Amino acid sequence: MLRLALPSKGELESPALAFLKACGIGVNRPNSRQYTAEIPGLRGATVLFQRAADIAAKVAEGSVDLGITGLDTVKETLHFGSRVDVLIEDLDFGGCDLVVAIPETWIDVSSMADLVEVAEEMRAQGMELRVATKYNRLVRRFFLEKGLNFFSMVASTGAIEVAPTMGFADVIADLTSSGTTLRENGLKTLSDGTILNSQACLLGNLDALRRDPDAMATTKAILERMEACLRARDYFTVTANIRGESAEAVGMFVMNEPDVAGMQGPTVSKVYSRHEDGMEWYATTVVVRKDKLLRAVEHLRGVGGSGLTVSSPNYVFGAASEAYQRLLGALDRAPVA
Amino acid sequence: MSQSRKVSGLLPSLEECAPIRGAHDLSERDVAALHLTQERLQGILVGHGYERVDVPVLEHSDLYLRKLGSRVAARLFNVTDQRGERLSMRPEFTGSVIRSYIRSASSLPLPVRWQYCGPVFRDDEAGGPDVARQFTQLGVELIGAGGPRADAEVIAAACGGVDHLGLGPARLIIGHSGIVPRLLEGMQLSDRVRMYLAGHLDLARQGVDGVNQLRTGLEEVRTRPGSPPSGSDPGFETGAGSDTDLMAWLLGQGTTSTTGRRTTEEIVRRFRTKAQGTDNPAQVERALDLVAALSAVQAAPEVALARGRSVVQQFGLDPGAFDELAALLECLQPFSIGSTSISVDLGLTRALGYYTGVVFEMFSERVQSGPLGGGGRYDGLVRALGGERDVPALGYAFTVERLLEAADRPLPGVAAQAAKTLVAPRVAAALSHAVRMVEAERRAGRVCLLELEDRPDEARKAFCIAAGITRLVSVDSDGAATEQTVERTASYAPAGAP
Repeated sequence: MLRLALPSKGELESPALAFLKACGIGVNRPNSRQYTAEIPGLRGATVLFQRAADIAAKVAEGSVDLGITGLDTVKETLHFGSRVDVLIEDLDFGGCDLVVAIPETWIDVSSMADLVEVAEEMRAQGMELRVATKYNRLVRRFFLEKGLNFFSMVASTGAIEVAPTMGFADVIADLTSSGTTLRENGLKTLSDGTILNSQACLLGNLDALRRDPDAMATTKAILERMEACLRARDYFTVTANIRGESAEAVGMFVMNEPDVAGMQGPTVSKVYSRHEDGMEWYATTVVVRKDKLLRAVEHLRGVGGSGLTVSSPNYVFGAASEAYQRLLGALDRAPVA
Repeated sequence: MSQSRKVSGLLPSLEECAPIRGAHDLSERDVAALHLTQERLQGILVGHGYERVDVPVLEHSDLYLRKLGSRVAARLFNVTDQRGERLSMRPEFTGSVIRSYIRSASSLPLPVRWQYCGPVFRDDEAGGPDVARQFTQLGVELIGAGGPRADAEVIAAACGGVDHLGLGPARLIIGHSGIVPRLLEGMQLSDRVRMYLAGHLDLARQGVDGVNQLRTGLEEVRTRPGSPPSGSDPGFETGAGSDTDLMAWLLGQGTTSTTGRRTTEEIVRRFRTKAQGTDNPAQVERALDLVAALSAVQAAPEVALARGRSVVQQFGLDPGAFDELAALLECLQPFSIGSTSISVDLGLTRALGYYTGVVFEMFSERVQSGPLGGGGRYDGLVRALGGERDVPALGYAFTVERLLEAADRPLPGVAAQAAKTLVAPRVAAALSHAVRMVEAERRAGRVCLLELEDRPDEARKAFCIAAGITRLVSVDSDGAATEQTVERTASYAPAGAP
């Protein structure tokens, strides 16, 4: 049985459920007080709802096999090195940045280099720059790498943004997605003060997966679906009716512009219609990257296309699941416990 | 299922029995090799007048944070003691040795020659299993001597050590940490840009990518006037507005008045200083060009000096910046440095941030993981760590494990283990005779083990072979001893023995 941990509440909860649903592995959770659930479309998996901040540690200790949570908490909590692997780093939701924020009134500070100088000034006065954060480890490393050696961490949970106003910290490091909360609390960011670009990710316990072939098989199914669903978001399917002498001729026309001629090439199939001039109609379908849509439309029109329809694929599968291949590689490299 | 996992979690798995990443268990053979190397190097250094000192493994974190530079500061192993004091395991010795010197400075005749040896600890989050997090440093500090003669003596001592160990030809690479900062001083740049450039010279030698990274970094540190977010500008750019105007503007911008623990006066003061020391982008770019050009100079000493001087002249700066390095190279000539070859690398930088003058590293072709050792001059460190006056000083440290790696064969003296004897009482009543014999053997300076188990002769013989014991003495209750030489035969060879 594969145990998958999902965020039980907070900002990641509903996007995570929506994402799984889009992947075709929607979670059946009878009510929000229940902390376990099933995935009807995926036998052999059980879902456990956990606090997003705890999930990385749960995967690391092996009490669950897979987990979906923010990359920020993963980078902050994972001390266990090779036993846990991030299987898919970007699930395309929960995007936010871990940033250093300082009082807006510090008009003399616009970069980390400024902050280093301020910290040294404060130290000369017998104070130490205080930073309030939940991300001790990431912040400490970031500060030291930027040459900011003299600071102390103020342990803080809850509303970190008010720490400078309350006077128990000078600066903060916290997550922000739009910056609104920071601005409303009289804080601003630094030009080079982004510690981490975070989003939701999927992680797995390598030891647990190695031990249990069934869990591994279920993981493969999950990775395949997630990857195909994520990849599909980059593509449109475009279908056009094109007049031509033969399917080959139409195919060749479309192939003239390989960039917008589909992943391998166009699919061309005959349309059975009344034809007056000896020409046939062919329905031609290409899958193109979203940013190439208008070029694809132009191109199909240019070769005589009409009646163009555009739709979004639900899944786009490659020849093999890249995430699964990566997982196999990680299992190969990781020492056997 | 979860039950069984819990139970197995109580017992250490094979992996948990392994040492932590980047640290090693050592066998008798390893320890012997390590000690022999240490003793030989230390012996040579004693001959140079370096006295042995030792310092604690744990120090106040501050000692290292003050001057080490971010590359090593980020690798500290930190602990908090029970009173909440922040301590770190030493990542190197120089900080501690200088702290110790400062404490007893008044009673010491200068120059002080000290040597040390012991484990140092550097964490490495990203590093793979091959990155050592504990390794042994053996080094010297020469405190209170400035000038090229002192530089040359220290460098020659390092070369002499490598030569004495018989490690084969080594390469000595010499650079100078003072050249770039001194040249940058003549280029109208803010302290910040100068310090950033001087502290990131390692990027300058990494080709176009490195230089671009340096440029991006400079863009961040380049001092420029802060831009007021919006609204009227009470003479910010010109510095014409009064402090009161500035403060009024600050507080009147609809922002909260949060300033953390800094006062408005402090903010305004620093803002003004910053606005005055604005960097000209063209000047910053010129400095970048200079640094990139100098960092690319790696050649035989005379050639490198000539190239360096020519680069500096193209920029219209003072070629006198190379005088110290040239004087050192001159001074080095009378010293015998064995089969070591010397080259000069004007882009040589060290991970530690406190060097002010000559820096050097030694390499062996047989060791790919990094230099055998290195060091340099750090004239500012004594004062930075609390000394009352500037004291010129320099030193170097070898990584002993790398010296061992450079030895392509076991060091002579390590392979030959002392002959061992096992004394076995045949019956309980023979114990007192056996003990007397063992003690006499030991007094005579031989390695002698007392048999602790009653076991059949065959098993005892097998043990002797496996444990490298060559002489077996069996003692009877009347004190009569039978002696036999244990020879390794094929049938006795334990599995895996060579």
